[in-house]
Amino acid sequence: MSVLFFLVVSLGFGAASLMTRRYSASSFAIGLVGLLAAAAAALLITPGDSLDLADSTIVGSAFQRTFLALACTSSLLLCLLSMTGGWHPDLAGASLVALGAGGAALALGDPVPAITATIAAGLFGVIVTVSFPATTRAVNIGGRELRAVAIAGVLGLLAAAWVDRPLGPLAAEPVVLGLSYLAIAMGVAIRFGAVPFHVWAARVSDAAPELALPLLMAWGPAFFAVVGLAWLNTALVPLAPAPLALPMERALVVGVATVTLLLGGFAAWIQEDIEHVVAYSIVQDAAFVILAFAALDGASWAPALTWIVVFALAKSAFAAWALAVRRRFGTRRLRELRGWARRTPLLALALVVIAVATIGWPGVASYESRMALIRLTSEGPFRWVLIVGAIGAVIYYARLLAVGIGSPGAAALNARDDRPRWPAGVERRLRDPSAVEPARGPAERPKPVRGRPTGADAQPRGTPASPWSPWLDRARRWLEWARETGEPLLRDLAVWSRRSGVTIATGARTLPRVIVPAIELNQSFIAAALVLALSLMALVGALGGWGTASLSAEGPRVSTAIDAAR
Amino acid sequence: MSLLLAATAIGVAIGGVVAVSAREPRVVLLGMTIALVGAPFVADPLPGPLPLAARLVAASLASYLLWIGSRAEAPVGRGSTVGWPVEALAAAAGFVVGWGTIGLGAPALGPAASAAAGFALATLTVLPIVFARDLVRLGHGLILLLLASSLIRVSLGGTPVALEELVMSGVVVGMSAVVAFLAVQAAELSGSTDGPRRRPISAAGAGVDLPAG
Repeated sequence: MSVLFFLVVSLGFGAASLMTRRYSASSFAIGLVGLLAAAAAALLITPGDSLDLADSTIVGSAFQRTFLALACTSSLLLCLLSMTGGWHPDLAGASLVALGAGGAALALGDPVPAITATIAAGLFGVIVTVSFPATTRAVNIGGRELRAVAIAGVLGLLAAAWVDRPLGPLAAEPVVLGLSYLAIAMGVAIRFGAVPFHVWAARVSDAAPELALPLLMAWGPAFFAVVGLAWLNTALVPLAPAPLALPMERALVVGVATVTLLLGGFAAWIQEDIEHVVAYSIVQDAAFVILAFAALDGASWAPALTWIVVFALAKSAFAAWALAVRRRFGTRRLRELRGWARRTPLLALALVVIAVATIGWPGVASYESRMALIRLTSEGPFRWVLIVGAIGAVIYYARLLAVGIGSPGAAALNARDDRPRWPAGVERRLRDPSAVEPARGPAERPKPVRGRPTGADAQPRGTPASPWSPWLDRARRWLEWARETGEPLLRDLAVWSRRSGVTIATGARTLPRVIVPAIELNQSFIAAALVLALSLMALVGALGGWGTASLSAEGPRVSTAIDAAR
Repeated sequence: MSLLLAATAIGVAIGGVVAVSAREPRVVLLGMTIALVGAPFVADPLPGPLPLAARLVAASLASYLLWIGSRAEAPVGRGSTVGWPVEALAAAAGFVVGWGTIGLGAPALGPAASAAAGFALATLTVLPIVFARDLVRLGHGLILLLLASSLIRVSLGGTPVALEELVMSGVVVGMSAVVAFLAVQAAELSGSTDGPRRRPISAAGAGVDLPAG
């Protein structure tokens, strides 16, 4: 029942948000509330809680609870961050529907409908890819993405349908097992945009907004990977125990993972556009999910789950970092971002945390899970190639940091720093207590230098204005109305408080004039704080928090709905 | 019963041929509707009343969404590049192969007719998916591919349980919605669903590509 509650909340709010997309601010607000409610509903999922529904069963699991709660929270933070710029009105609604469909996939006991549900989880990302406002190129790229999602899903569906029945003598036929195995593994590779299926992913990184990349390239495919891996471990592994079975097929999958690991890292290293760096880093790290399929061994389940959680969180934080940097400095070109880290230590710290969470060190969950997958799939000198590829991610993080600590360029000089600011009136009062004039209206903004827009004001062509301003205007009006209505009450309260010696209440009169301008003025600081929060979420996951350690201990027999239902 | 099943399967395959061959959007939509409505009936035993009703409602909704997607400034599509006779022959070949390979090496739990219809639809989707630059045609191909996989799954594993039918209904509607969304966006952007190039309509009503340059 707890799973059904999550599904109703996420799919209900998601559908409501998408159906009201004509009214973009309301649609976005519904999506935000829905993400908050869905995160709470995910936390209420009880492991083992099953419900018979339409001749089948849906079951809750610990992994499902953890994964969905983190996905909803991460999406919520990304949507809040998008309000500071680069927003997409459909992001919240599409995220909710995708997470709802993914939640259903994790809860379904039968692999065929579970894989079918993962197709739905990927479908609605297409809406986000077609950036707002849409361009011809984005629409065509949306078509490519739809094709990748559908073909990957159909491959998985056919593989499961072929094997998930009484096979008789066919169970000993390596061709059947090999084809099914390749179908599900290649389906996952297509969904993650692994090399050589990376063309659609590269195009998507061009067209989609930064904040949509985690949904399109990490969370959505992760649902498919988890369901596929669970099916592989329960249906194929007992028929084809590693390492004797399917050597050619496994070698092919290992080859795809290796090429993805090395070329993805290299591509991320040489990119000049930080959004492309994010996209290729996602592709690179997805190689370890494909390695989990290459293992063809139940022992890959625990490290794969751990890595999937860390991977999705870290890439969400990385995408958020890219948006915050672009918003702050008004450019995504790395050569124009010289000195960015000097200007914003918060974002620099966030990048370091993201790199640490992704790469890790011996003894840490993220590092150990990747090394476990490497050990399961390689030996001899080839293992060192994979290890180098795994640690090689440090190169592009180091490059980003090196550019950041270099001498500041024009963009860095023009951008505002991390210091929180008070609205002008409050600042005057803080400096000179005798000043009585309160701040009215939005606070002063820094003036652009050398004709360039400052980071927080820089708006890329084709991107709509942030929804922040209309909402803040409304909030300001509401607060003014509340202030005027409550003025007599506040005056009496102030008189009473002075008489009784309590002076806190007198400060309440100035709040409406301070809060709204303060939020408006500190959007860059708030964005950096949100990025840091996301990166810390990833770090906690990398250190074994969020229950990833216990998920690993559960093993493949009890931690998925598929097994529980069987 | 098997005759009726075979007739339904043939109807689904014909719907697919019409959908991928025709140029007129309304005719394409007719073919899609036939395939979408007919597919759930190619099963033995038939699904229960509730899942069957869900599939039919989903088929109606999907057709309506595709209609929304194709009616905006409805440009005439390119249709099949190889012509309907070739598509029909390919579908027939797929139909025969599906009928002959029922079970794919193991005893099948479903009827041969669903395998035949599934293979026929899958054969028809190759050209629209691999070579189509027309978004609507690509979308139709992907929806037909999804239907094909569900039909092959029915032939291998028997009639799905109700929940699987419900999930499939949801995915069909979702995919149709996304295809319609993309088609409307493309039509609004360029007046054509064939990318940035405008195609003049010939006297016969067929779309003709502008020469390069």
